[in-house]
Amino acid sequence: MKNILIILLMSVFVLGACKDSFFDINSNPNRPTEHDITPDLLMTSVIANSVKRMTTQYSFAAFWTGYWARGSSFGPSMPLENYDITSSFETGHWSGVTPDQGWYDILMDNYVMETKAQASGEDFYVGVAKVIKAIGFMYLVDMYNNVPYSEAFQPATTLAPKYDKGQDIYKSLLAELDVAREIFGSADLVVPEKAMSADVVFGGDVSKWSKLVNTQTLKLLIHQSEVVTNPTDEIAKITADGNGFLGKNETAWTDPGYSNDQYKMNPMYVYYVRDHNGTLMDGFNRASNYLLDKYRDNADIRYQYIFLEATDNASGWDGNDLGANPEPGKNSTNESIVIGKGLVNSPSDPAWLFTSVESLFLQAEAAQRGWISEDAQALYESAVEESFSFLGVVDAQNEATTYLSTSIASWSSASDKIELIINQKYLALPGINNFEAWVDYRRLGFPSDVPLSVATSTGSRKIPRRMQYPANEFSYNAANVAAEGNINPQTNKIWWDVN
Amino acid sequence: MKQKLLSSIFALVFLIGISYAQNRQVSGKVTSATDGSPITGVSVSVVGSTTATQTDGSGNYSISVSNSSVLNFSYIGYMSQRVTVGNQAVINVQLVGDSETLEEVVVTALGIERNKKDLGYAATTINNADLTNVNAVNVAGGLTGKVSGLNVTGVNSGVFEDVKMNLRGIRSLTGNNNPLLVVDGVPMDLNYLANLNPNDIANVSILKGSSSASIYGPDARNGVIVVTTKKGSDVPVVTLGHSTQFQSVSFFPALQKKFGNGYDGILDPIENWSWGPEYDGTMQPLGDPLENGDIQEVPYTGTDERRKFYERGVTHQTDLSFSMKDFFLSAQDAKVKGIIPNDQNRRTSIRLNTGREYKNFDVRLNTSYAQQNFNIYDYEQADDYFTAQNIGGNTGLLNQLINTPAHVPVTSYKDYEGNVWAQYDNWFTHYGLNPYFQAANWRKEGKRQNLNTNLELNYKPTEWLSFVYRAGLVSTNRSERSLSQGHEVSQFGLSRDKTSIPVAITERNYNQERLSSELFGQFNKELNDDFRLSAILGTYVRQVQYRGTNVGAGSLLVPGIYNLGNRIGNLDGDSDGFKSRLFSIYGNVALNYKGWANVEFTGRSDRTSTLSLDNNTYFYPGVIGSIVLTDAIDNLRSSTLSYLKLRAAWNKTGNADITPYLLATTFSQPSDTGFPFGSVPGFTTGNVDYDPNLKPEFINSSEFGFESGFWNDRIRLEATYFYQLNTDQIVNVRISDATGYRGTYRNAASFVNKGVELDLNLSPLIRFNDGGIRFRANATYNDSEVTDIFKEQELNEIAIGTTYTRVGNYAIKGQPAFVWKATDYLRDDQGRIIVDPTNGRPSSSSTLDIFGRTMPKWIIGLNPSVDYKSFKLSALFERKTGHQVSFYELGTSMAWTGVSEATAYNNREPFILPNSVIPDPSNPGSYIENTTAKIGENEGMYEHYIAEYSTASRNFLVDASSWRWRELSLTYDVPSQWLASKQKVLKSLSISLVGRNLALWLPKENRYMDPDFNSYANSEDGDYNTFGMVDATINPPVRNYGFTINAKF
Repeated sequence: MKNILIILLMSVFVLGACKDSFFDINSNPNRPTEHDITPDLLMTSVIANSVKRMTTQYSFAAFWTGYWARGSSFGPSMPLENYDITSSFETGHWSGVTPDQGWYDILMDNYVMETKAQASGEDFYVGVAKVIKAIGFMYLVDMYNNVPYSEAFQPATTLAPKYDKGQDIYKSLLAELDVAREIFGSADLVVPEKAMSADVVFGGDVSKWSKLVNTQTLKLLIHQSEVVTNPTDEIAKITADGNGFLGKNETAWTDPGYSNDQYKMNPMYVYYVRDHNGTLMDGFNRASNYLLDKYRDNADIRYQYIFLEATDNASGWDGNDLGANPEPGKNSTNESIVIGKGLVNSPSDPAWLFTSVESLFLQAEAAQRGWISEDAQALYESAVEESFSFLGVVDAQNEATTYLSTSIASWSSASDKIELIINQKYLALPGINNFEAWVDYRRLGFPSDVPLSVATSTGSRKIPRRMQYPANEFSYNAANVAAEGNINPQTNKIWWDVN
Repeated sequence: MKQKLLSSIFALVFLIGISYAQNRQVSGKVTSATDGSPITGVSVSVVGSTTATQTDGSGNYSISVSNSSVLNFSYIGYMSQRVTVGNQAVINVQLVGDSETLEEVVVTALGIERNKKDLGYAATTINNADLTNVNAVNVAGGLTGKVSGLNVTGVNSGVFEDVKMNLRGIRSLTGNNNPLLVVDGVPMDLNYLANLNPNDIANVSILKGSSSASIYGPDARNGVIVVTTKKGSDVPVVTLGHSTQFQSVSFFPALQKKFGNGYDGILDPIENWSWGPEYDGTMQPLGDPLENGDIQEVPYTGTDERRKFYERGVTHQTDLSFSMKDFFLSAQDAKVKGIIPNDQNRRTSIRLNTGREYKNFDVRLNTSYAQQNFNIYDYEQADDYFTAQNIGGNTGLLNQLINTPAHVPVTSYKDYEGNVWAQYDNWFTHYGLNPYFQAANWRKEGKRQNLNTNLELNYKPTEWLSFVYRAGLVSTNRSERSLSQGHEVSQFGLSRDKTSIPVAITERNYNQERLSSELFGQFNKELNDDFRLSAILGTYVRQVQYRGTNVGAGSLLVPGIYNLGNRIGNLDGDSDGFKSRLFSIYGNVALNYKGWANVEFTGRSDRTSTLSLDNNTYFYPGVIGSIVLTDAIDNLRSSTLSYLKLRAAWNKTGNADITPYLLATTFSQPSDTGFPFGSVPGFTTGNVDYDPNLKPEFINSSEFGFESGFWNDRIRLEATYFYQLNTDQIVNVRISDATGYRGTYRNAASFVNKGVELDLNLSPLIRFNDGGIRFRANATYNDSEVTDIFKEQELNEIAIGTTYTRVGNYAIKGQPAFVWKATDYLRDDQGRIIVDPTNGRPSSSSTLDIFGRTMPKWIIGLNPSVDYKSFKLSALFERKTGHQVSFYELGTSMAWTGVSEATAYNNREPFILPNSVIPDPSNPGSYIENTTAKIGENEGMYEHYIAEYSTASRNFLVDASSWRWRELSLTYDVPSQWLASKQKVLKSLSISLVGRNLALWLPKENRYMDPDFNSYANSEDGDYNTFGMVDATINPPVRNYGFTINAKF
């Protein structure tokens, strides 16, 4: 009897365990896999993470271009302040961990979104993916010149992607934007229901996406202005599209639903100002004296909107010099926080993917270069006016008009109009787009008086022309990165940096 | 019908047995020499024959013999004894306790007891007395230094006594290298060890190789720790024990006590930088003046206050047990008060082992339940706070302490609420916290519960056949709450860069259940006079199920009310879970010839749920052999050579050591990205790419060894050589981030792991009246070589676990597993440091160079002991060497603030960097000795220390060798005669003075910390194999000392 029982027991286990179904329990119950994911679920995070990266991760550019300096509560920060750039400096731009994803992480999500959308025939997402791709890879090229592009995101076949030429990537991005322009311009385009809420930029408004496509195209063209001096064909496509560029009051705002809750705040606000408990978050980044003087010396009130009044300083706004040792007794609380009320005033303010201010300055430069037929002076002046009104300056129109008549901003008295446009673009973009200031400085050398770091260990080094490839590439993509030769961020330049 | 058949076979065998039996019966009783209590289960055998029996519940036995027979009595934990029968009819024997005997019985796979003599692989048994010699709370502590091949590493000194264990090095580059723990026949996770009451344990067998993997399955590839708990005793015994031990800090990083706070030699009362002027003993202000104008003034003199922050820890441990026939009941209460203020853990456990025999049917039920209630400082929350403050480098409590200038009277700030100078807003420096506040503000409290129960049914239809069914349940539950007490900053605090700390809570719950069901049949029969055949055939099914949930609120409204409902803002949370299954069929056939030769074949087939259905079944075989030469070869045994055995084993083990669901990339909404924003979701791709066709990895291991005894076993020597080839290792290979992923799981790496284990026992070394001196020693040599990382990608290295940009653990082709990679100063081809001829400063390389090993090459344990009358004195020393440890994070943060001893080099006067060269101006490309360029001549001395000194991480990579005085115990056994004369109740009483980790001897260059420590030993974060990464999240090492009283009634 007992034996029978045992044999029965045994057979139950053996037989039960021999079925495939007994072992087929390995599909993840906790998280979706590629099989389950849909483009709308990725689009929101792709956009929000791009915006977060662009608005919060380019402090180094703000330091180098004279926008910002280190707060007095902090000790020296190398190599930020001596330009001795190695492969371990700011590697997060390439790839980083959440919540600060690097470009390759964001572009990977973007790539999955695009392929899923192509498979399902949802072209709207494809168009958005192309725009984000053009933005992300532009940043990568502008930082590193040649980077993996054509072989990226293919782990099944390529674990060590080769590097494509920066110039070729730009060409390809312009072509991608052409496709996006066609998608958004197509009369047959159906915007999926889910995309309306998942599109945290334009809520599915395709004509606005067309404007962004055209503006991003113009930005790429401007970046390569010193190499491709007259991009007639590209401009012709924009003209043919007819939607034009982002104009006055047409900033591409992004708002997935920012609020004063942990992790859900406007990224710039929580990064540079306060957290959800109202705790001041950033004592490191502070206004630079150079920039403050540029405004004050020209009766330009904008610094009071770009920077915050120091919490503990009788003179209100104060800053530091890059690389200087802190004055004894001085704290970060005596100096101005870098994101003022004119930029982000509350944790629930929207963030920007592309500002009208920057768009107008790009158009002004394009006009001055004769690429587009509009009047350069009018575009320039409306760009400056837009800067004042973007910042919410009280009586913005009059302030701007007054300012435009001063010697520093006057169109008529400027001998080099391009220099004027860039110098004013520079004064309009602190905190808004620190990276663009570094691009313009390398492209054209303006403003010509950007101060160098005063840190003793700077030696003869100048403002870096590019970033070093991150250490991980030297370890895990060694052959391909070696093929780029020895990179010296002091002397090696981005392909469009020819001056 | 079947029963009848089996019975008749049994009868037949019995008759045959009789016909071969010898002429008469002898009987007797076996008792313990220590307390006279009868010993159950002693194996009594006729030497040179296969006749054997066991003592019954009262210690009685009966066996058939001839006059010329010699009887051998053996039992685990006792010295075996031989008695020539002659014409005696009754032979009573007293066995003397001894931990190591050549005839020892080892509990092997499936709980089967086997004579060590028959084993073809290395195994060691540690009995209860040795395990609890110094009353370590954690069983692992009691095993340290006692077994060759076993590397027990204490990774931190806290209330949990966290350890890491490895047997014979590693089998997996990135996966789990924990030995398997088997308690009363049921396999379980090694972490369960911390929940066992050491006093419940009868003995621990360490099966070092992977030979038992054929029976225990893939988890046994790293060796097995077989724990057998006490079964009961025939005479009812009550034992009561108590131990009180104290812990005090035994080692502290070397700090300078010459220079106070400030920079560039200028005193700044609010600085935490110790780059100020030299101490002169005057009264100096410390911190800012308060709003009312009060200024704190303290003597400007270096002190040892920082070390004194750590309190004296106390452990009280009380045990009570009752045992009788087939019944063992025990309870233990261990209360640990840590060295950080208010850190404590209390482990309370009960165990009931009971059984019942019914004819040839035997039922046993072993159940234990343990509960740990703890309340500790939570460095993780503090870490988050400091990260958010953007002042990295101040994360750990230790960091906060060592980075306090030497004249700050730290211990006077204990009352961080009452003492005005200790208050958060008034704390002297703008850049740190009062460590007492820090330790009190962020706490983690919780409960860990473990229930382990197993049911065993044993059916023995005949003498040579038995069936065992075993069902086991190990259930683990952890519930924890991380609390932040919070602080609302004052206006004055705000002006001093202080910020508010929110009241916060995170609640976590983990549940894991491991169910196993096993059935095996055992065949064991003499074929004829010479041959005995035994065989096992069995099946095993296991299911592991896990569920984890955590929910938190970052800001609570009413302080002190830690309820998620008392919050503003959103809840933050995540949940996770898995289920995995394993099914196996295994078998083993062993043939024994004349008791001195053994050959064994094993085989096992596994099927796992963690691989795809096409790849999830794998088979692995093994063969084991041994021969006792002193029995096999006539005349080999002599007065010099008393015993010689040779053994060899080869086997292959397959395993898929991956967690479930590692076959496809997943998408998630990490909470720190903010998604979902209300109804707006946002997913992101996981960082790891997966190969859906992963195969199991395989280990080919061989071992050869001998066991020998000389001069009547007074000297015993055992040696084993092992060699393991690990192939198809599943590793998360790092790939270019431009693939969109960080890594990909592939069958990629392979490596060789080999070594030698030596055990020497001199017992007794010297014998004198009423006592003797014994000496035991063990040594392990372990080496390895990585033969491949990822051929397909020509990838020759992978980082192991958590690494810093400038230093980390790596597995590199052609190198041992694992080695350090670190940055160094730029050097010329003679290894001299190249410095700038203008300022004498070196520069650090931007690439990482390969340095030494992370794991010791040699581990040596020395265990002398002396018995004299009722006293026993025993000590244990341990040596580890051949590896390096990195104090990068600790060292750089001390350099930053200028508190480390190194920063006071040359009294902070300008100096020429030793062994430095400058470019030869007349001969470009070559270098000449630097005799002129001095560091610190043109700039602040700190400039060098915070820059290249800190970025050249080799400056903090030091020799990890150590000598440790692990154990010391002095025991006095109150003589039993004396006890008996006084009163009959008390059977035995012993009192001991014990000490653990009494001393630590380190090489000169290690000025930092215990080299065994490791801040990244947490396997939950994938840091299974990270060694020697020490940051300030650990506590300084402690020594334990105290006393123990044990009484038996």
